[in-house]
Amino acid sequence: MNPSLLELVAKKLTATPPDVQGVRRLVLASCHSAGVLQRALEESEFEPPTAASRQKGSDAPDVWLSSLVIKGFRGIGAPMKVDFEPTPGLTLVLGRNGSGKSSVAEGLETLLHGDCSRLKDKPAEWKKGWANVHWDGAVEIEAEFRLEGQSECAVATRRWESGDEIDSADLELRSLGSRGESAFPSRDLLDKYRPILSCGQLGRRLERRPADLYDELAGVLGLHELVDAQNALRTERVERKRRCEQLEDGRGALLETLSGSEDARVVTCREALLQQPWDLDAIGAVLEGRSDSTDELNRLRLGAELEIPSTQALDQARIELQTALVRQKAADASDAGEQRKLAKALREALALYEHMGEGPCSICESDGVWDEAWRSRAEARMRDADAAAAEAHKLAEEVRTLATTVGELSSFLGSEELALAQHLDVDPEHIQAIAAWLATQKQDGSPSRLAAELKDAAPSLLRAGAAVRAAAVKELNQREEGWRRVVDAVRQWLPRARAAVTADEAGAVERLVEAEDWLKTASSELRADRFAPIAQEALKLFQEMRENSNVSLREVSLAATGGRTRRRVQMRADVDGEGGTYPALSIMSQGELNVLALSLFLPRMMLAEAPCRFVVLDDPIQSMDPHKVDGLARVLGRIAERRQVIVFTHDPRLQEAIDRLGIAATYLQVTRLPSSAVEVRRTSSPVEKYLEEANRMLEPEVVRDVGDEKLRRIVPGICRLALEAALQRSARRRLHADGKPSEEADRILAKAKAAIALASLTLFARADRGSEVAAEFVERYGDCGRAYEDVNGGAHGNYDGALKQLVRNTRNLTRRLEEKS
Amino acid sequence: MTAASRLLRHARECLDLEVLGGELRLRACALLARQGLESAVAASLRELGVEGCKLAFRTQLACLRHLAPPTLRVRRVSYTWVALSHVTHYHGYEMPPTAEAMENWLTEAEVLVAMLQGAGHAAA
Repeated sequence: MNPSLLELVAKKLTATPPDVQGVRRLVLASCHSAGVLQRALEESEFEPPTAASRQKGSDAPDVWLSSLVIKGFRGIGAPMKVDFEPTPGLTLVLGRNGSGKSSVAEGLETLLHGDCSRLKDKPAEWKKGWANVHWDGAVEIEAEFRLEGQSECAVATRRWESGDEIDSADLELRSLGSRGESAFPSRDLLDKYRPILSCGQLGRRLERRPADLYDELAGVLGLHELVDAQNALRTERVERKRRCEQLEDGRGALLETLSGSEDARVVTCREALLQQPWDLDAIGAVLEGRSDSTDELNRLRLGAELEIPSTQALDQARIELQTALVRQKAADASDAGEQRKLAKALREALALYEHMGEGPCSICESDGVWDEAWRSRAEARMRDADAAAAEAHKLAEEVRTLATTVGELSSFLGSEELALAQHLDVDPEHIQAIAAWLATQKQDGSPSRLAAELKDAAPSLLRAGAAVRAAAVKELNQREEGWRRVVDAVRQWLPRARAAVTADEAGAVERLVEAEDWLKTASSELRADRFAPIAQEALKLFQEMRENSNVSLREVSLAATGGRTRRRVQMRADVDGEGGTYPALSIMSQGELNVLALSLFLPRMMLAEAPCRFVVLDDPIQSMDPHKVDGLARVLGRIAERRQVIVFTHDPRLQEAIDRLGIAATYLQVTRLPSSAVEVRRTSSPVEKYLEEANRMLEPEVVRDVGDEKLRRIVPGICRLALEAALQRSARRRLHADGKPSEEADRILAKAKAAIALASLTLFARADRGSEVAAEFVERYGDCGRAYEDVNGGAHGNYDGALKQLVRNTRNLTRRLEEKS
Repeated sequence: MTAASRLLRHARECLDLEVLGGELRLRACALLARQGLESAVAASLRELGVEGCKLAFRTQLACLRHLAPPTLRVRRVSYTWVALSHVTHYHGYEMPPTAEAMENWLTEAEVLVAMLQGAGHAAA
């Protein structure tokens, strides 16, 4: 974006920040490019720059016009060279219509732009004959430019061979030093800030379509870039919104797909999709099998993989247990415990016997006798008791082991399987069988009872187990089938949704809408801010040039509603300063319209960004009344303080005004000689010009070539011209000094054409004392005052005195007249 | 050669005097041509018995118109003199005439001076 415009946008963003967070960045980014905008949307840390590098297109230096050489172009035959002072200042190029003056201006225009506005858009007939008829060779236009801050200068040339079209020649650049062509403003830049204003059709340019005028004035301000920025925001918003809608549509379709299944995974997904914001993590967990919803599935899987013992295995285990129980029962006669106690008692009695020796029994105090025989018997009994206890112990172990086996085999159905059976709606008979079995197992767990109950329950338990397993398998298959149907859709949708959420697409759309709104609202103010320098300058220029017009320009603004569609330059003016303004175009005279057009187009050429420091106006005085010419002269003088102003004109009033107002200017006189030879000479103010001519005629080489006889009849006439020019100036000054308004002064001077009347006005502030003038000049100015009478007589061939003295007197008299006023 | 013819010859010579430069050449030519016309008119009046060189030139022309035979185209003299006068007076920054215009006026002045001299001889 144009740096000045971007600066204004950044300033406005600070002054009236958007309400929504992050919108500021988007507005700024949109001012740079679509790419920067995308970056700002994707990287929340990214801060778009608030200033752009000063882009003068390229960074070519400013250029000033040094000289122009034209040959064979339009009214110019033989090569013609004009030198300009490549610094700020005013140069007036004067010439009659047809003198070749416009050919000079058009030549420069054609050189810079490759075409010429006078011929542009004209029928083919106009474009023929642009080459000069008196010139046979190639047509060539060449200009030299001073490059600001560079020691080298640039030379630009266009060359046409006979028969070429006017727009067929390329611009060649030379002597640019190390920087090459980049040292010269690009064609694009030259065209944008066109330094040449051809004023012939100026007023008509206001009458074109409003949008064209708008484009011409606003083009250099880069205002279309505001519209571009809005478009970038809209494009991004539309694209993101489309993606959001696609995602939303996808969600709708997914919900449709997910309906009707009660699979916990599906349900989880469905609920996650109905949440706000969507619970994408829950859906991800389901896809990765990490979700709670898979617990039930795992139970079903266990049910489907239920291991059911065979009837034979169960029966065999039970029978073995029962057999072991029978044997245990039989062994129960010699109780293992009692045998162990007996063995212990006998072991201790034998130990006591070892200690006490033979004798009466120390334990029972009966008649029994402890002796070796008792000892043998006791030891035999102890061994038997030990053996019986070991046998009983072994049986008990066997029963326990078998009971464990039977228990394990019969425990394939537990509370989980019961819950599953109930959940899966298995036949109640089976549920009951399981429930009943589990109930019995909670009570006394004696092996005999286990064996007995199992014998009764085994068949129904085995059937129940098979039923549970079958039901689980069926349910599992159904669910897997349903999940398989939707899982692909979920898998496809999820990453897109995740990307959209990560990128915060919905939020971005909201922010983009906000950014668009902000920019749209700010646009009219930005446009006004940006146009302000031009508008202010235009109002100022009009004010300066309007002199005595009863129409005042009050407002110049750019209006664009609906983006680029309805754009126009709004110009309002008032009449006699009375209340109310009117459309300027409708109330202005042709002269005022020209002033308006100049006021509008001049500021554009003077923008800081304009690469050409020279401003060329071709014939700016069109239908202007004399007072406006004064205004124009002042304006040109003001512009010339900063720019190289070159004005081509056929109207002497501009020179007169510049001279009279004391505005510094250089004059170039264009004279057309036979065979399209065009001569451009530097001249000065009329008084100086004639005095220089008179002096020149007295130079030895001229005296030799012309001869005294002729000079005597020519020089006084030239001196009279100098005096008349001085008198006209002094008469006007005298009238102004006496408080006569311009208009009245004009009227009086128009009547007093003769030198005698002008002299009377100068000397007496009235035109009717001509008879006293000659004497008064001598009276007031002494010797030099005699020049008045001498030149008047001499112009008719009646001067006998010394020509040098006459010229000297004339010069002194003009000086004194200057002083006097 | 009469004074008038001499002035006109000088005027024509001036047109080719490159030393003067384009614009001054034309002005010098106009000054001389006008003086040539004035001289021829004064001579004609003298021949008609009127010593008029102290009179304003417009008055001299009025006399001539009154005294000369109607075949003398005094009005044409008047037109050409006014045109030449215009160049030799200052008119507020007016552009110099073109070379072609000056050439035409000079030619016309030459024709008119010849006519005046012829009329003078006829009157004599």
